[in-house]
Amino acid sequence: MGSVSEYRGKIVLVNLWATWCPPCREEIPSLERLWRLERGRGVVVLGIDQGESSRVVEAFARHSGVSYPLLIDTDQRYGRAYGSLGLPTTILVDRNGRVFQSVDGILSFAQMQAAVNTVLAAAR
Amino acid sequence: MSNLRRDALVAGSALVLSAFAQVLFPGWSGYHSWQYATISVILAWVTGRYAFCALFGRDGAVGRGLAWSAGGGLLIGLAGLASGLLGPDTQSFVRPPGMVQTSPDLDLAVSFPNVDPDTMMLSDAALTLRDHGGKLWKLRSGGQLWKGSALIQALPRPAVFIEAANAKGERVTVTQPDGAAFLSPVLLFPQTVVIGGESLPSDAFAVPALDREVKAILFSESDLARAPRAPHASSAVLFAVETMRTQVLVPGSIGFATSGERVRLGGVALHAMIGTYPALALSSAPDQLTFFVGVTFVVIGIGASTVIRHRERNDRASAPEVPEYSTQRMDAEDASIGT
Repeated sequence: MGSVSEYRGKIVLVNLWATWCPPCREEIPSLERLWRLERGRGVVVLGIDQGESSRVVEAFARHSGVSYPLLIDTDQRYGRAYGSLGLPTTILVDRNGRVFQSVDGILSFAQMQAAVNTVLAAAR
Repeated sequence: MSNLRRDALVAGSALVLSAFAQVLFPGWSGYHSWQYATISVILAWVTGRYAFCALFGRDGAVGRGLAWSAGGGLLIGLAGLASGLLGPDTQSFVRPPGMVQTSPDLDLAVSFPNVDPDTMMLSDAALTLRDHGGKLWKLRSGGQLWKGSALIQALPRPAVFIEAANAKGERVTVTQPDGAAFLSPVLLFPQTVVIGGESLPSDAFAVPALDREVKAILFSESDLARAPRAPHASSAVLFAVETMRTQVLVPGSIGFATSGERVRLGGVALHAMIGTYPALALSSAPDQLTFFVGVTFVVIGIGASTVIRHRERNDRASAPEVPEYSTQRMDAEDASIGT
């Protein structure tokens, strides 16, 4: 389904999630809204499903109207690499590929936007 | 060979070997015992006494050379003694893939690698060590690194890579809510359970998408030989599946899986791949610099004494022979010649 390296040079909000995770599903409308609103400013919202099959993820994405890019982490490597304590976990990566912020648990749209604005301001 | 030299040779060799044993066979608690310290002190005293006497000529020219070796042995022994007395007991760190363990004392950060099932089954995972200056070392399972006054080992521990699927064969997420890494499919078996008087490694994981929690117990070949209805294999995992929310055992959900075998238990298709994953062990060791300075002294001493001995032998060979005096008495006739 692709690779994270494709988004080098952009601000990437990585969201580790799974279809069975209720708070992850609750967060999806905010992620979708952020993606639609901020992609013009070089911001990418990237959902990385943890350990599920592509059929399950594709069906869920179609049903929920997710339009931001999704990756599937079959071996759950990203969760381990980022030291995820649970799902969802959101990691904000700046244009240089550095982790700017990592949050364990659900985020509101306002919190997501504030974090993205901080990175955008720092990049100017 | 003088008694003093012979005693020092035995004591010095024992001293060096006892210190080097800390590197060859690390982790033994005896290195930190008073018995080890007492023996080391006695051996150091015998070696040191010879070094002092020989240095001031009590053992001749060869002894002066050997004084360097005795001094080196003493240095090595003292480094071993200090490590035993002052160094910490061996510490083991069992960490999941993706974690970083820092050690400020050693100025090291140790990364536990992310692994795929094949790497684990081949016991091929390697720890990555990075010091403050960015220098990197790779430590494969079973390998060791001697740095400063510490010995760092990557000890292979039994581990299992788990894959889970639903009834349609679609992969589902494996989590470890009670483990150090929530999203790790690698079981490290930090606990033990007693079954039939035998203590066996145990772990647990969850399959939230299917509302299942799975307990896993690792059986070795000898454990399997004793267990009833167990498979004939070098190792296997015994699974027991419960519901995640109500913690009720699902009927017919207890069963063995050998490495690579896919089993369906309690509504979950489980695929267990048994291998090893490295744990980090830190042991105290003689200070590396002191040890190698000591070894250098030993070598210099042996070399010097050999050269001195060789020279002494050559000097003896090239010296003019002392004339032999005849014990025969000259008779009167001979004595009269020339008179």
